Amino acid sequence: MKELNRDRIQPLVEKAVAGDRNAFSEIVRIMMKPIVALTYRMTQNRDVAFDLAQDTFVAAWQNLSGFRGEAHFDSWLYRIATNKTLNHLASPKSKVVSADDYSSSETLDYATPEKILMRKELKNTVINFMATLPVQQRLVFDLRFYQNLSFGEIAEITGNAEGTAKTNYREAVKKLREYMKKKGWQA
Amino acid sequence: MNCKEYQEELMLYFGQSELPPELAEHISGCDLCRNFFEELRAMTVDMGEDKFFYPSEIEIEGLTVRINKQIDRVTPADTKVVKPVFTWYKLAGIAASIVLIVGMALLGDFFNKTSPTSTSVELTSSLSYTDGYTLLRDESEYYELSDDQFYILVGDYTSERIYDAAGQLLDDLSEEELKYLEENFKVGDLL
Repeated sequence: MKELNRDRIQPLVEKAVAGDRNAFSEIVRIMMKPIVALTYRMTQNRDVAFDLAQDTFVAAWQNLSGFRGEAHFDSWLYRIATNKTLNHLASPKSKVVSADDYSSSETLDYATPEKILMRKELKNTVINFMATLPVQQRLVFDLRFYQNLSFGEIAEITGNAEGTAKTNYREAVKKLREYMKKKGWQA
Repeated sequence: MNCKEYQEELMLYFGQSELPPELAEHISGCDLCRNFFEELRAMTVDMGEDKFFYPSEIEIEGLTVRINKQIDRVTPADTKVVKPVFTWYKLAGIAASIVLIVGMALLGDFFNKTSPTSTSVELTSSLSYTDGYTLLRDESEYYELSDDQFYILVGDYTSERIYDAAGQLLDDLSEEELKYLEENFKVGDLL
């Protein structure tokens, strides 16, 4: 998915940087799904996730000239989203927003009630587990596991060393094993 | 590396579809590490995929509208906007400059033709005679000369030849012929 998105985005980025609004709107459509998924898993709140995604794309539009093409455009977007999300999580108002139940209209994709229930349980498991992780470990885990980014890319996005990203990921996986065992999970 | 170090390394590939050759080779010959890796792989399934958390199409539509509205409100501060190189006022300025330059050149040419200091005047010096005055046409201007001034000017190189010719003419005459001429004509009239 990562490579597919990059192939689709690349020609659009050049147009958007030249001021083409339609090209940027197409980028928004392509990248909105992974950005919302990231901000949701980080904040555990759907409304906040949508607000952060919106702020991310607007900030990207306003700072398009700052994108020099040295990194992939999706990595650049992730960096903006990450900064927005970390700022939100560091703010006092994030403490009063509780986690919600992410029940979107995706039920259309899973016809049987069993599948809908399984999917809902899985998502709750993930969200609850992510909430147990420190913010930096949560972010690295998300970027590595769900976005399939390399540790080098993660280091660029988070502004930390590659070794720090690896340590954070390793710690997150260890905690996941412990979490699942506590829940009675068996391989 | 020992098995603990291999497992530390294997954790970095949790959720990835491929392992580096060194790790793949080790787990193929190590039951402990292979079991560890299989456990991680089973957990991967329970973590789902990114797409499980995607918003629905309806939500995407709604959010897209919100984003576009906000982008319309904000000023794209550093966005590059393609602008035409020549605008109408730039073209008008260029045209006015061209007209001004050409006009000045034409006016200058007109004044130079009437000016004695202009280089457009014929450079070769020459003489012409009109109404008792000789005009000396020099490189840059005309000089008016009276007859006396003219003869003084040209006499230097013509007088010697005239007197030589007159002397030769008188030498060829006999005394009788010379006497006849002196009695009936002035010598200056003959010359």
